[in-house]
Amino acid sequence: MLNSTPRFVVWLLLVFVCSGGVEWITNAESALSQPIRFGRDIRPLLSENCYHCHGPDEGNRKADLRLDHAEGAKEDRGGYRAVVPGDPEESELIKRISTDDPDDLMPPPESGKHLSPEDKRLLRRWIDQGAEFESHWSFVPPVRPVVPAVHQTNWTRQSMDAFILRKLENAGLGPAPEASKETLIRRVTLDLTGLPPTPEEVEMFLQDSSDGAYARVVDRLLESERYGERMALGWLNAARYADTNGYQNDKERQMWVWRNWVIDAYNQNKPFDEFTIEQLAGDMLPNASIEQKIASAFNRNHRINGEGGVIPEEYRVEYVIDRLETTGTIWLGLTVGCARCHSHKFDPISQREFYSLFSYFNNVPENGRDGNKGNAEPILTVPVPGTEAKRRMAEQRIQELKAAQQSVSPEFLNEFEEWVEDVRRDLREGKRSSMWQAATVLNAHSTGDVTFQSLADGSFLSSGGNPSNPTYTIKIRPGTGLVTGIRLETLTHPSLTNGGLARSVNGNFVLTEFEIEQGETVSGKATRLAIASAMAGYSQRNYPINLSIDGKSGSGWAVFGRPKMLDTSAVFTLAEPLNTSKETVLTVRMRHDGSFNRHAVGRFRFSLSSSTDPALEGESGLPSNVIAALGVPNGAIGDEERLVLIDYFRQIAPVLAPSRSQVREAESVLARLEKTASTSVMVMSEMPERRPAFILNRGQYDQPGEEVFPAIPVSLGQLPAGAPNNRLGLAQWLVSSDNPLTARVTVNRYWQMLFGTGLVESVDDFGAQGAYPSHPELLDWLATEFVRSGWDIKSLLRLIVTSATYRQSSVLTAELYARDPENRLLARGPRFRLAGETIRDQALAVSGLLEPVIGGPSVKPYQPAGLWEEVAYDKKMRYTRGSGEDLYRRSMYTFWKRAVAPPSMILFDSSGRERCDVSRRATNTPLQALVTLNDVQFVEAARVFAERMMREGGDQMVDRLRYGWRLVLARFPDAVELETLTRGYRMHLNHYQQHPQAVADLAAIGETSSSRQGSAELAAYTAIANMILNLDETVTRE
Amino acid sequence: MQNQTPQDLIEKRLEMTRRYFFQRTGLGIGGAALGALLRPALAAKNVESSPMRVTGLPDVTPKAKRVIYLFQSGAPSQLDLFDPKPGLDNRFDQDLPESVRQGQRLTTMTSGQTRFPLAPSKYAFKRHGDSGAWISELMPHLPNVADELCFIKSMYTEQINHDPAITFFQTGFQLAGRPSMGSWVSYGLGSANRDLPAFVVMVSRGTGRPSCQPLYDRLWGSGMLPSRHQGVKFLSVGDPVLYLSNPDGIDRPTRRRQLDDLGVLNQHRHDHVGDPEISTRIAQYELAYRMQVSVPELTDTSNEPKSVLDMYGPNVRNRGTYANNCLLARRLAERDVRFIQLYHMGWDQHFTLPKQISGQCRDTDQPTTGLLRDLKQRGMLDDTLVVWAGEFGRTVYCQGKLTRENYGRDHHPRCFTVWLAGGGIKPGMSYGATDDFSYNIMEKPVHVNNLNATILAALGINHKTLSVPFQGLDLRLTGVEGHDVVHDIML
Repeated sequence: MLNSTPRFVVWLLLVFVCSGGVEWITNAESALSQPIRFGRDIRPLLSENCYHCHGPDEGNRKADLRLDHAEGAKEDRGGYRAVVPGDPEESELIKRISTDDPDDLMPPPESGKHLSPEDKRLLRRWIDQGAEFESHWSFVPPVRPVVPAVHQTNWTRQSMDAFILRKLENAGLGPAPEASKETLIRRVTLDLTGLPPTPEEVEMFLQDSSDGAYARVVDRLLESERYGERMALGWLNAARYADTNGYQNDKERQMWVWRNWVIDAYNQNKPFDEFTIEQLAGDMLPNASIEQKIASAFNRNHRINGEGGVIPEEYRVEYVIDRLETTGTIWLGLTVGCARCHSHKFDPISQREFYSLFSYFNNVPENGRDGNKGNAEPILTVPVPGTEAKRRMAEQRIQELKAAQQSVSPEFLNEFEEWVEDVRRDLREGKRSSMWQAATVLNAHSTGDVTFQSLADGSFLSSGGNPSNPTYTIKIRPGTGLVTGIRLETLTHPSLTNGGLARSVNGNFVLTEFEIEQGETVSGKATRLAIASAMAGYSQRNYPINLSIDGKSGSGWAVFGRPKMLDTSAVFTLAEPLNTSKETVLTVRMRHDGSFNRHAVGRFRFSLSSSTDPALEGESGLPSNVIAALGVPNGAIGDEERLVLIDYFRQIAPVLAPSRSQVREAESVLARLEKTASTSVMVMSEMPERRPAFILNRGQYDQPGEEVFPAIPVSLGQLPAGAPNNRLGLAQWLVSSDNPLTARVTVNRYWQMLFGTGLVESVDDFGAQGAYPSHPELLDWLATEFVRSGWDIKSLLRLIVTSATYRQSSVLTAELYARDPENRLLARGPRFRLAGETIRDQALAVSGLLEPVIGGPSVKPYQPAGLWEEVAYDKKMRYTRGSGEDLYRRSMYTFWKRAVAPPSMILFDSSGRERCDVSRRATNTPLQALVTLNDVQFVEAARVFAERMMREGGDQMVDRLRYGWRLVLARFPDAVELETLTRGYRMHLNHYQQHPQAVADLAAIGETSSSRQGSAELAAYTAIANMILNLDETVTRE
Repeated sequence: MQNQTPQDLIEKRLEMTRRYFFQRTGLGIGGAALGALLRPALAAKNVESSPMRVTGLPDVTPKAKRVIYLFQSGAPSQLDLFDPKPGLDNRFDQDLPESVRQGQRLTTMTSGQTRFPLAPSKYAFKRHGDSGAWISELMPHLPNVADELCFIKSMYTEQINHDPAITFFQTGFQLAGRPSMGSWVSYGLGSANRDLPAFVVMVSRGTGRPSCQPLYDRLWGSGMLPSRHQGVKFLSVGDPVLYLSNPDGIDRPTRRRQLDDLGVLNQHRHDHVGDPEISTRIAQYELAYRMQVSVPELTDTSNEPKSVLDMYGPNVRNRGTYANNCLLARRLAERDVRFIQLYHMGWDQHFTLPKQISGQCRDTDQPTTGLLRDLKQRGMLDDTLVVWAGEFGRTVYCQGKLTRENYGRDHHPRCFTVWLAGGGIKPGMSYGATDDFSYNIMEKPVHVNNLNATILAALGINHKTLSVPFQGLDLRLTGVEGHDVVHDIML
């Protein structure tokens, strides 16, 4: 019997894959008793086997026969009809599926399609019973069904349960008992917050025997901010959120502001209709707020190409289609993308209707090849919440520290006198050269919106805007004397890229031209001074310094190529020495032209020389005013000069070194804050004129056919009265009460989140090829309830998780397993593996490592070395791991690089974030075991978890083990489990007592290691903790 | 089956349950436990040796048991390697005749060029072996195995840029998200080795062009197939498989003790809650434990004799090199890993092609040849299919500055050369032909989908039947349109 014939096997597989085991059992066993229903029993068969050639797609229709509606199937075809209601023998359809003649047989053998005997019997009985057709169930708006009567009335807690129970009773089954309180609180806490309950929360629930105890837990969880994060995670997968653009070089983008918006929206319980409209068309709302515009970033999460050779229009079309497919999947549960190249084979969406929908998303002012820039237009610049207060605090701290430096201590004075003596002696004896003196800069400006910050050491730091090709203009007053050369020092700064020399992509600059002019007033006429030669302390290969004085804008001086960016100087020697007066103003112009975007010098300082042969070396180390104040080598120093010198000495006095380093630190904090004070996010926006849309033949961007205009597919209804016929109107239609799909599709996704499988198993396909609902009336009841409540997400979730159905135990009997392996009838609670993100978050939570900050930019936790480098276009694309709290944030904040997605997430079936993904997968592989056993993230968590067991679990080994077990599983171990733990612990302890090196090694894992002491006990508890974090029950929600 | 008894129904249900179960688990190991749970009689059946696969496959007679796919990423120049056009020598720097170009779409890198000057290859070609295969002097080793190779000179694709073209080659679709070929094979045929994954990927960086076209993990992703069919990438630094090593401070005996306890505790939970998924998890942890030995044993090449190592050339000992990956490919093949995919990066030669391509050939020529010889001498070439291909070809006209000695070539999807060897493919043949400019195909065009259908056919898989339902369609590697196997090159 087993695998005896290939046909049988194909059929089995077909049944399994298409309809799920239970549905098949139901069909087969009910075949003799129940009336046939077209939508449930017949349409799936016809859709799978016939519609490809006899369905809605006229382009592919054979023999001009349609079997997807009654008229086509029953029409007179010249003496015969495909379907003769009540008379199978006269129906051509039955003849053709039963014949032995391969030429006549349907479906044709070469199609690979095949009807089983059971299928054929169903078709025959359907015709026998009158061959009723129904519209496809999901295209008919849901009507609130009557709650069915049930026998076991003491089990149901609310209407929802009656639908489940009715079906169980029909199948001769009963519900499972309620899960234990420990299981229940862990289940609902993981489901609603993505984190395990704390021991206190468990204890409180166990102690509370009053009626509303469970409901209060649910309320608490729904009010927790963790709820918003948990809900957002699912939405990020659906919305294909990522931190890179996804094609070719996979450049970084900034979309986290939108992620913040999503978390907030869930936490504020924004009704789903508003949630929808703002994300699809927030930019088009009247007087749209910044938040509403941010919400529209939803449809900019798609990938964006930047590969050199691509044709922009080709990819722009892909983005529009991506938006349409994403919207279609999430709200309509339809695979609209199928109609891109030809009319849909199974669902009533024609190719024309597809491009009419396309037209709604087609009017964004965007370029298809912008992916190499980071964020691509249209962009919204937004202030980062909370940074302003922090910035003010940092500024205040700097002021306070500087004020403290002003006080003059005796030690300082001692050091000062000594220094003055030393310097004067050095100058006298020629040990210090006075070749370079700091230039007095009057002002510094730039084209574009660059602002310059004047730093204490006389240097200028670029900040503010970061235009592509700025030209800097710096006015210098040399004072009376002689100028033979100008020295430009380019200096590193923490606020510059990678702590380098510029705000370019890699911290490098390209100085394309350096010019000097002389004038007698600040704003008056100036004449250009010829530069005889230039030299530099370092030049990048092919970018020597002389290219900065060659008069050509396409070439210049650059400094990349050293292992690390370092301060670098260049000297420009004038062709003729210049005599200067008190009024003389030198204007220095630094140009950054050519194709090197944003490669502008980030921080610079100038000095002047009067030496006959200005060289790179030869520091006096002192600014000109200090040299002047020091006076003639032996002369006396006046009071005013003394003040100048003291002011200067504050910057170098050894006694003030700690204070100065505090200032530097505070300044770099400020610089970091200013850099992150605002961020940008890609948003939707609508061009003033609609971009014409066309049917694209075979879906090709370069084969436009007939022009089309925005419209809703006829079979799905029409825009609500008064709604504009644009993207905003489309969004309003999706959440209008007439829409047959949105509410069903949405509640079904929540059902999947809580039960592992949707009531409609194909959460992304409610069309003819999708699965029929396991409980159609329940789905409609929930959908109408959702709309009735004002699209209230929290109240819908509360309804479901407080039901008797949800609260059932997931314990499985062999009988029940055989009866319903996939648990479609819900005669037991669902038991399924946690998402990879949750598994990691749980380990961080139970160890206490979890960093609770909500929102903000993505972070880079531990990742095995070399993953980015191995596939990137060059080896410099490195993953730079974060530190401190970045290592312990919730997984939803982990930086998502599309080309190399976080490995521990992908191994646990995470969506790749390439495209919209609403399905859930939970495979079970050896590579997953290796993650939770060996990943430093998990091993460190195990050690910190072990420390917590020792610290909080009491003095006795048994108590500590019991405590640790409960931290993860919410329940205490039973006798067998405790005995296993105890024995294991003793063996590990024995081992570690004899292996001190292993103790030390284990204690050294992870960043938290430095402050901790290892011990054999800790190592043994760590081995136990590591094992507990790998229990099946740990990675499962029971 | 017209009259089913209740017993039939139960039998069928059990079988379905088993099938459902195997779909979820990588291997049949847990099946014994499940069988015991459902019906003791089934438990006696040894399912340990029947790994999951799509029942009914292979459905045509297989010639190859496994594939080694040597993907040359960036698109090697057919004009400088395998498709000589001696007539070009007299046409140096002349314009490509408009009658040849026919206004096809070009990448935007050369679509703005005012001229399309012909760039003859500077390399000498010779015929080699009994089959008279054309191979240029850039590959001095490959002639040693010329008679094993089957060249397809008439390959083409629709994609003109790297990202979509590689994605198309590997998944049959230009946008990311579909299962890669190795995943399909893993899904269809299952694993033949209980200690190693069915689909292994190795990446190396070319010395010809170190800053080169990137790769993406999705190229070996499983798309909508279960994630256990993902290619497992062997890494060139750190653990060869992600997270393979025990952490410092946990040695193998300690790990064993942990897993013993874990097994006891999981089994105890299983006894209580009855979920067969727990048995699978126990089995997967044991497989992970075995992989901790089997993978390092696999990657440890210290016992390879010098005579073998020498065949692969001087870089064979250096981890992460193409040569080392070729040697590992043979070791994986010996262990019956189904699909072994190498990527060698750096073939994208828009400018200074001669300098770059000679580096690429130095990287690959000897190791590729060594791999074929090594397989041959072990008798493994008969049932191992080796494929050498890039994502498209390169243009006959020059990109950038043209001299006799130095030139560059843009992307060319309209014709290029790949070769296959071993496992069911006719040795010593050349299939298809291009025009005098290697610009258009003159005879026997082979689309990427044809090539992929042929590779599947060699493995005994009818590409039309290997499908999964996805968004209402039967999704396959070779697309919905008719692309047939290239029967002429199959034994």
